[in-house]
Amino acid sequence: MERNTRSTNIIISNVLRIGSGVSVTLMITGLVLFLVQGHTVLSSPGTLHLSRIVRGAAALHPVDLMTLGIFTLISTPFLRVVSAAWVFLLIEKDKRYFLVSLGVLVILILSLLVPGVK
Amino acid sequence: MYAFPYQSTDLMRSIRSACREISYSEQPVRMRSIRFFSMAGRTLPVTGLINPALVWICYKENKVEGVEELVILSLLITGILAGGLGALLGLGGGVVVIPILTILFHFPIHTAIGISLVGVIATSTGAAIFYVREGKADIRLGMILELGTTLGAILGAVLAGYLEEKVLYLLFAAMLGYNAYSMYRKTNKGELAASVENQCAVIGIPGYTVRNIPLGLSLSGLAGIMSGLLGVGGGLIKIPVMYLLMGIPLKVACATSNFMIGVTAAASAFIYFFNGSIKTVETVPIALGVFLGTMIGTRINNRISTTALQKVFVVVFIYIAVQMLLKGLGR
Repeated sequence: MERNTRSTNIIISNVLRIGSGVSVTLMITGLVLFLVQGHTVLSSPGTLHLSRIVRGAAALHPVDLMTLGIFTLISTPFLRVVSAAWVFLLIEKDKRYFLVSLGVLVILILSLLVPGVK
Repeated sequence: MYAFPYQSTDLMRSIRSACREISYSEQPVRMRSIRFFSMAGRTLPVTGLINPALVWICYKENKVEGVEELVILSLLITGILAGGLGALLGLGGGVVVIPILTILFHFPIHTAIGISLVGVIATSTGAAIFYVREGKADIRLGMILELGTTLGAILGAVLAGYLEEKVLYLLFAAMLGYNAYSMYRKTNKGELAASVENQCAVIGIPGYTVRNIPLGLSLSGLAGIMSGLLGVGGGLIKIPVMYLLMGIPLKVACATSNFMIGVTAAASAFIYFFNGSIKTVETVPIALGVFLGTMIGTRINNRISTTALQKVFVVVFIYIAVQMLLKGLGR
């Protein structure tokens, strides 16, 4: 059990490292491009749709790159919960806490659907 | 030209006009320095030290362009400050970021909250990477409490959209006051004097039983609301709830709180993100700065007297709380 816990911690820590690494890379790239290219405008103003942002990032639009970086950063804790759920289900075989983690995941996904007020 | 969102605020307008006047004036240097000082003097009481600093740079460099780079740089420095202080004092960094953004940079508070939440996630993730001691965190307990905090966070984020700016300022001031008070008690008590990170240096965890789960859950919901509403980590409530109320060893409470803070902030961050509250160009320097600051803060943790730092910050927080209070009362 002790060895299990340590290796799962290493897995979770690596997941976090990769997640934040990706987001930081996106952000730095976007920022450098933004400063070098002389403050060009967003590819399309207003709508914050993920597909548009991803497309813009693939086209190396600086602001879209940065936005994608921020989005990745915000999603990292989500990955933490997913990893924990995984660990609970497969490694520690703890059904109850797997369900609890699933519940947290559901709530997190729910937050994506809340329109929010401006 | 990228429409920097706050061109219409005092900050941008005053800097631009000051720079323009100084740069384009054909008067001799002496007159220009007099103009500079009068500009700086006029802006100083209104918006703090950032304006004169930027005006000074425009004056020296004799240009109007490049204000955006300077703002990005100062945002980066803000992030580093927040990350470093967060790591040293055991906070999420939100308490530093929001006052600086609202008082010095004149961001609307809803934007500042959104940006701060991103910073909180950066702090939590950055610290968690360094402290693989997540093994010391009671993830099971954290998960259960997360049910409460995430729901609270969503509630708080939605609520923030309905509340007026002034109310948020007042609430923030109250929270800062409580922050200062609890930090003051920490410095006095001595046993809790070390920062969260120091306390989390674990040598062995005795077995413990968890008490008061329903109450702990509801208080965690409250912490979640505070996080979504004011853009802070919420560790302020979570750690005492776990340590004092639920009978968790302090070190486990700290590590668990670090884990929870990131998830709670993420719950409300998505709402602010799709709201458009998180202005990309301003957020990125802060997020990057926070990562840097957390790295620096955790490295120099051993060389800095945390107690002395905490004592200084009791005063700083009280000062900031008063500033936010004034903003809430309409300056």
